[in-house]
Amino acid sequence: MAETYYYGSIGNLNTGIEAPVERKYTIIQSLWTKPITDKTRLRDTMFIAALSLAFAHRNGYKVHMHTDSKGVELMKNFGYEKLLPTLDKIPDSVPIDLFAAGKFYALQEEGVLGKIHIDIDVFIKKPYLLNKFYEDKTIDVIGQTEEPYDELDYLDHLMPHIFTIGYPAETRPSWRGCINTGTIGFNNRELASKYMSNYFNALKIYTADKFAKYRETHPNAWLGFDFILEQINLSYLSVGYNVYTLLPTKNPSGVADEIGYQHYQGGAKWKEENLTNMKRWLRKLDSSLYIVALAASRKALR
Amino acid sequence: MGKIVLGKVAFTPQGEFNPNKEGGYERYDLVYNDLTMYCSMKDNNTSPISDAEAWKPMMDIDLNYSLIERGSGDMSIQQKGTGATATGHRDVALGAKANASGKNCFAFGWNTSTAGYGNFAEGVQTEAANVGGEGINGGCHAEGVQTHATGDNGSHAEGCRTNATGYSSHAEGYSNDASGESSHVGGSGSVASARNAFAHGNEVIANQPASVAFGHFNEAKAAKEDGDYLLFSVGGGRRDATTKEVTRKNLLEIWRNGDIFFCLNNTGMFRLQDSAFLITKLIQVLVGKNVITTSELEYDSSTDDEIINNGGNSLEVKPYSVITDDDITDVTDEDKDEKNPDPEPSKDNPDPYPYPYDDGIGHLPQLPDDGVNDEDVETTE
Repeated sequence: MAETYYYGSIGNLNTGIEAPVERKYTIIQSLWTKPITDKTRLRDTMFIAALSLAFAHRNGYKVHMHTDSKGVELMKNFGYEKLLPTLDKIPDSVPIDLFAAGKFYALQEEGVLGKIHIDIDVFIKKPYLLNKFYEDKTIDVIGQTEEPYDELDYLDHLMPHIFTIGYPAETRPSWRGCINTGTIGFNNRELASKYMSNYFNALKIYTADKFAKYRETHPNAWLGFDFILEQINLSYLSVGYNVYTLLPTKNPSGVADEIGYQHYQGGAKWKEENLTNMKRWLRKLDSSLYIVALAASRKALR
Repeated sequence: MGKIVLGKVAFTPQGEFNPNKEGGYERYDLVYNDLTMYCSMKDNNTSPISDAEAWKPMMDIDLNYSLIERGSGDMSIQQKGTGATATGHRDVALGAKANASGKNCFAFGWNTSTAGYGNFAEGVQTEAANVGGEGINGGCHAEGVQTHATGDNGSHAEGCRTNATGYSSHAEGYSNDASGESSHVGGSGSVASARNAFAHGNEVIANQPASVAFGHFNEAKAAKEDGDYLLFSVGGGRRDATTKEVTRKNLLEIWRNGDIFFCLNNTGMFRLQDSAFLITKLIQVLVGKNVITTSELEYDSSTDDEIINNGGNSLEVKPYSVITDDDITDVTDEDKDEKNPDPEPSKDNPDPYPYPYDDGIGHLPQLPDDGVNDEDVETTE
């Protein structure tokens, strides 16, 4: 029988959020600290990750965090159900530009199937928001949003090299969208296998050495590559599969507020006023976790 | 003459040592425990296996005297003194720098490596490592020199510098790449990058689903985006000795797009062209469908079928084993300016690629100031 968790000092917060619920399913998170070379970013990341954890715990999910040794040292007191240095396995040949690599290594470590990975800036604000995926195995893949993205033409010629599975090399699909993978999980073995294979095969081609040269002329190349490897990869491969996206393409933000989902993607989360608000929420949800995250943030600056 | 009662004189194998065996073991019962065989020295033997009076080691497989040793993984073994490492569950690593990780993997030979589940690598610098782990698929097999079998579900690479990276793909020969799902490639420098594609020859490409390519510098490619599959292509291209450019000429293509099209593209092959009628009829008999030659198609401008004559396409897909840095850096400034401005970050424009949802998706309601400042809060290590 699953244990019901209640912690410390929350009480009746009168914040509109419901009481903690039984934790039924496991979600995966990952934090690869190597690409975060700015210590202040790493400091702020501690609070964001803690808030994401607090929301997940409160709304019915156990959390397995896959990070590296540095991340384990920083987050060892956060209270994850599992905290693993999985990302130490990422070889030096993987360019830090591809920061989503941590997500793939985490998924691989967990066996890929049957679990959802959410980014550390994703907040699950209502109970059991993701349970449909866990309980309906006819869902082949869960993603966040189908989004248009049309600014990758200059990388077109690279796609046949990147996609070794499932990509029609000579025929560019008419729909160039991507699937935002702030939330991603697979129930379909074949689809998961193709998706992961494409990514790891591409890592063998686009090594850190090659990326270093590419970066000289294309400093923002990481953006395009990450979109292709992570998000367009999924959109291409998942055609014909049962794809369950949490949010619609139109008005995703409005629907997100309705269903209790948030992805603080983009640069807004680093703004001082937003970080301040996130810390307030963290103190509301779990004041003891705030103390732990604060200690971690101070350690991150050393 | 007196009688001597010898008692039990036969050895009785009893399998793995069970410390809780009811009634204990009889004299001369043989058990094994942790790679060592022991003989019971008494009846009703309930003594622990460490009791030297009760149990005598019969065949001490002491790994200190062996060429192999335990690996760091659970129940794994590795060759001693060779740099071989067996780090996963039930892995075996034999040979210098052989590295077996994952589960139930076998790495055999110099600098071979395995990962994933149930994979097998042998030879020199081979790699068998499906990416999915136990929960997905396994059974990759790499053999030869610098071969890589990393696709899921039984990918197989053999020969030299071959890569089987597709799902259930097979690559053999030299410098070939089978990256399509269930694809098969052989010869040298060839690519089977599409699902169920088959490529065999010298730098031939099969990059359409279910396509087949043979010959030199040939490419089985679809000319129509929404067309059906090309079934069969035999090529006769060439590589310019000076410029190194590859020209692809298809001597023979057979298409399926409702009907069967039979195409002869190389005007230099008179003898083959003369035989077109005969071959056409032969295919008609074989497949029972209408068969049309390229020359007939080209006269019919009311259809778009003349695009079927697509000989002479340039090579764009190469196995990653032959990709050079030029493939990465060949986006010119001209391309960049024309298709995408690709601006540089600057103080005025720190984020030149504003994301459509740069403020995030969903909102975190603003909470009132709770009077807490980070600086005022004490923390301990």
